[in-house]
Amino acid sequence: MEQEAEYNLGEPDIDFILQAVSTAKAQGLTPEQMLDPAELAVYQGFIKKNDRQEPNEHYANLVDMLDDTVLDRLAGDVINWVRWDEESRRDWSQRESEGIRALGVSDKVSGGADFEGSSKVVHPLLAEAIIQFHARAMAELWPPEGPVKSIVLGDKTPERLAQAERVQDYMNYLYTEDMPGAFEEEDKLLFRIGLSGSCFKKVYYDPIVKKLCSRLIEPADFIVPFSATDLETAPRYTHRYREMHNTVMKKIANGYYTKPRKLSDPNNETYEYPEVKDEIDHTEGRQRVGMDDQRHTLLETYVDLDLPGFEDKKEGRLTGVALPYIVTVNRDDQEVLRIQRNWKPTDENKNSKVCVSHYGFMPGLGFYYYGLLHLIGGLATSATGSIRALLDSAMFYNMQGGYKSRDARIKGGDAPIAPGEWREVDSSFEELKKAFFPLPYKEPSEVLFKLLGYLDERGQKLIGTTDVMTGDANPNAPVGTTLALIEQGGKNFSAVLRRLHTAHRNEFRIVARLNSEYIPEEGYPYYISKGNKNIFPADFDDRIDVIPVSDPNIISNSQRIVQAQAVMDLAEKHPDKVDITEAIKMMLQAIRIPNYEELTKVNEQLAQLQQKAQMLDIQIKEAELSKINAEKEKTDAEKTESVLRGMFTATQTANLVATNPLIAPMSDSLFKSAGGKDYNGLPLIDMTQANPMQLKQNTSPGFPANPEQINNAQPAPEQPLEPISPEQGANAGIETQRNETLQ
Amino acid sequence: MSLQDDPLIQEIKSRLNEEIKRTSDWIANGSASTFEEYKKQCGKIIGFNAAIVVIDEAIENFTKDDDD
Repeated sequence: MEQEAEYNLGEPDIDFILQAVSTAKAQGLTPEQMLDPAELAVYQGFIKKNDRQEPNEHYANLVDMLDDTVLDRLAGDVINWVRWDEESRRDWSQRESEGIRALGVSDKVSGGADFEGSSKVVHPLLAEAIIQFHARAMAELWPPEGPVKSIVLGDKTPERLAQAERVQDYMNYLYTEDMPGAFEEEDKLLFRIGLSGSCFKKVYYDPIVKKLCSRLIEPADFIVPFSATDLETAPRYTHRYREMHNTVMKKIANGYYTKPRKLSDPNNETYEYPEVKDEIDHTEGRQRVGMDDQRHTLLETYVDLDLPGFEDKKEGRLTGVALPYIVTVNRDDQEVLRIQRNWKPTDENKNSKVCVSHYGFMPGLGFYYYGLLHLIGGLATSATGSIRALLDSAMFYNMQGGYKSRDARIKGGDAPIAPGEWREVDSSFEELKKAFFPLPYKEPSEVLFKLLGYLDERGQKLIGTTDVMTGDANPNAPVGTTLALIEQGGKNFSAVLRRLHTAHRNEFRIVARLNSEYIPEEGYPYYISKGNKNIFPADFDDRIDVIPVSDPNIISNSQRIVQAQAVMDLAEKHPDKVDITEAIKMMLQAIRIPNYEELTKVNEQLAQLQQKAQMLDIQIKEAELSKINAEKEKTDAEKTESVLRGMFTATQTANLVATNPLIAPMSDSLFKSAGGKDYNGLPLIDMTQANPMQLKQNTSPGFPANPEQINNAQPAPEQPLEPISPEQGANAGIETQRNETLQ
Repeated sequence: MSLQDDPLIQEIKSRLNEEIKRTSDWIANGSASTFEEYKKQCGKIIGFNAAIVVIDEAIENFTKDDDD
């Protein structure tokens, strides 16, 4: 009964109504026939809301499409969230202020005795640690060529390699040339990380300058709830920033911000200056005089909301899931200027896009990281107290004071004696000795001095500075020993560098994502030393990843040089196993020689020339071989022709013999003497036994004495005289060479 | 029936041998009036012989492939 009463009093459940309508439609009924008037009103309201025209552009400003009541409540919520979140980290804020003081830049550093003339010196332990960290991190993270490297995911096809090169070139061009203030922001960021531990970088598309921007967010201006442990799981986070009045007006003019009902005079703003900001201003030696900086305080909150009219739906039904939005509120006027969807249009899960990268020094127990002020801030304060005590003690010892008798008669009264001055007195030495009583000031304490050294040593050890890194290493130490010393000494820094490497990678991925969203489809031309280039949004797909150029395993350039030296040594000792050219390249890269590729080109050109010479040599040898073969073929052909010519002559002779059988014996003799062989075994006339006188030269016309005679002879008649028969010639002792294949 | 006994093959080989014989006779009769003509006729004989050898080899290979 109680449940029923509650149901009747409450608004009809939309899920129940939608189910009822679905059943009604299946039965051929209309909603009007199925629902009672109250339910019908709720249903029609739902339909109207969901048919509402959404902006064409996914990232458009939604403020104009929401009721003022909703917007006012949202503005109040954002301001309250920021106030609560600020309150929850008050202690953190105070410690941050103390840390800035401990840096020693301002005159508000505590430690040691406080009296007129007391020492105000500050031990540089903290400053030195931060400067060293900053210098080392900057050298590793931001080489002159740019901080980005691209890698191909999957198969390395020529097309993908070219795409990766385009992405790398463009990203480095962005960071070194086209992204306003990128390097300066990185510079400040590394300093603040060393000091405070946490710092943030926001990457966004600026609608005024029409470019991607990378901006440092100081930890004081990045506000997260007390319960948050990281950005990905934080229920909300807010960037508080101050924007020039004119910039706000420009954004209103181009439609990025909705025109507010009211825009207060920025000079009359009631900006609650954070304590840390006051401390920073003090260190810089400046203070606020009046409020004439013409800036509004804006709060940009990343939060999940279930906005009326933009609820999450699945298959036409409300899911009740809050969706990620970016809400920009003018804190001075408590008015929402912009609400933008914060998920990719193609993302079905509507996951929140993170556009802030969290840079940290040493992980803390909660959201914020620890910096050097947390780690060695106490040591630095103690060291400052110790050094001040030593100096004060030395001052008292050097310029002692005490009691003086009124009887002492001294010209010049109480004026202190200047260095090298001898002042006249009317008293004797004995009287003077009796008239003065010095207080027992001691020399600066040896123990305190040792304690200061101990504090300093502990601080240096914590930040991982070794002699190798400060240039005091033994120059004759072996390479392996030096490398081990560097690695051992830099273990702490290596871990920090790995964190920075990861944060950098996150930032680059945000930039790559924004590039894929904001670069025009037809491409964006840019100009670098390699020539005119063009980049396309499709280049930033899932096949290419962008990572920092830094190597988290190498903490310093000295380590890189020592490694390259070790490779060089190996290449010299084992030239068959280690490529000396690559080793030289590695060394040139390690010692940061600009355009080292030009130097290595000499080797490549030499190698190319040698290769060409080898090719020519091979070609010459091949040509010689061809010549020998050709000559052999020519000789063979000549030999064949000679044999053939002999056979022709024999045939002709056979014909002569056939017509004149009496010359047969002489022909046989000639044939045999010319190397002819009787294959039928018929005995030829043995010329050695024959009477040489019988071998008379056949002088009859047409007898070919030799081949020349044949050639010079008169051409044979077209139809030579037909012999009686070939057999007759053969029987008469003439045998021509036979071809066995004729059988 | 083996391919060697094929009437067409037999006919081709017979014709080739006939040509060889006729050309040989022509040469033996001393019909070649010049050395160039003699060379040409000798070349024909060699060509006909080569054709017979090629036919025999092709038949042998074809028969071997069939057996495999």
